[in-house]
Amino acid sequence: MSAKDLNILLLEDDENDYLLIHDLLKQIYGAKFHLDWANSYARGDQLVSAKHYDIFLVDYQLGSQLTGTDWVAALHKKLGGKCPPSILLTGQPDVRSIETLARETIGIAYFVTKSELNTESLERTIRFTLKNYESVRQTSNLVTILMADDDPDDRLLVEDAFAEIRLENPLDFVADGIALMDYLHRRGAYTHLAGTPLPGLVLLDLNMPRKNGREALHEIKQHELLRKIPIVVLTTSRAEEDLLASYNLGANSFIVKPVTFDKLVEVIRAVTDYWLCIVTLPTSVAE
Amino acid sequence: MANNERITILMADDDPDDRLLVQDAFDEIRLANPLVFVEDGIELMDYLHRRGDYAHLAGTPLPGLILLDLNMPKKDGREALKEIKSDPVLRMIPIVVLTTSNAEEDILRTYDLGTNSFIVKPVTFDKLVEIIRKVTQYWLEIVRLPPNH
Repeated sequence: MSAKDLNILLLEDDENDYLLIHDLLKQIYGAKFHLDWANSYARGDQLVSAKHYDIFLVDYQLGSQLTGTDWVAALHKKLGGKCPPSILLTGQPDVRSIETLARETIGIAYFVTKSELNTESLERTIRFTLKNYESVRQTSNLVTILMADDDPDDRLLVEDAFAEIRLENPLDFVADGIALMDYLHRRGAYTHLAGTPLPGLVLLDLNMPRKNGREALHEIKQHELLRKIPIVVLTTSRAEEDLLASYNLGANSFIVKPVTFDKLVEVIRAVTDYWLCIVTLPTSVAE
Repeated sequence: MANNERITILMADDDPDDRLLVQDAFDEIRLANPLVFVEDGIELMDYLHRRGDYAHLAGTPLPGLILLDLNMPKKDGREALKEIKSDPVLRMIPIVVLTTSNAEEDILRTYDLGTNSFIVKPVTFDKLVEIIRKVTQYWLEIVRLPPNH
């Protein structure tokens, strides 16, 4: 295992179980882990969109409607191949049916009953989970597509468009120019990506806070390693000066965001078809 | 998108068979846009600068898209690419390198020099038609091109 602290998210509504697991993890990892606790699936979703986790510990029954397996399945559908693995936990007596469900759910690596939870079983299960996940990740050679856009609705729409065309490539998002540069340089909140291949394609909005798309584009196309990455400006702006500035700074293409979802799907389909199937991308090299 | 119907597509390729195949592919997809050919890097730069044999084109719009082979005599595609992307006016024109080479160093170097895309020439005509269809659809219908006055 690497020297980096392990980032764990626990979805659990029973505070005692949370304390127990926290204690076990402390015994196993000392100070080299960070445990976030979500006592609802909604809170879990919030945390997942804000932060990167190495692994999820998910209680099977967290509320009356959704089950832990449903939550993992939904998350995995959203994040695709890059979704961190989950370990399903349950204190329920009817273990057999849950175990079957766990095995059928994509994203669930292992299943553990709370009664058999101890430092040894937990350490071993986490270790096996992460080891399997790493080898699976490395065999996937799909390039990651990175989208930089400050508008959460637009990000969601593009995500939906990707889902509509059933694209398997990992899709990452950043919400402003600073996060974009940190992501590409594998620094700040993105140091965990160090050593992994750079995105194969960037979809770049121009109007973003903290550092706008134009500035970021300029920086990227000046940088010796990053300049090779194809950048498709995808913006609402119809201003000619934005068009000229983008191509002048080296944007590979400039596309105006369509207004309807159908048109967006069409554009995303054409963009991915062109860049992933027709074009030969520069090989992403780990920085 | 309406202005893209009349933009000229310029292809720079020294191989007459390849030029003919691309012409056929364009005919196959019934593209209305004018398709112009140059045979080497010197012709390419003269054409773009509206000088030499191409002085008569002065004042007319520049091509909206360039398909560029890398291996050409007199001045190869890499040198021409470098010159074009250094020129304040010409750099705006999207360039799609269309070449037989799939060597990693060519790919990396070409993107480094600022090509907009890199495509390896396919072996079969059917594949070429598909590529030409997708390339023209992308650049003429999906993408917004810079103005080419």
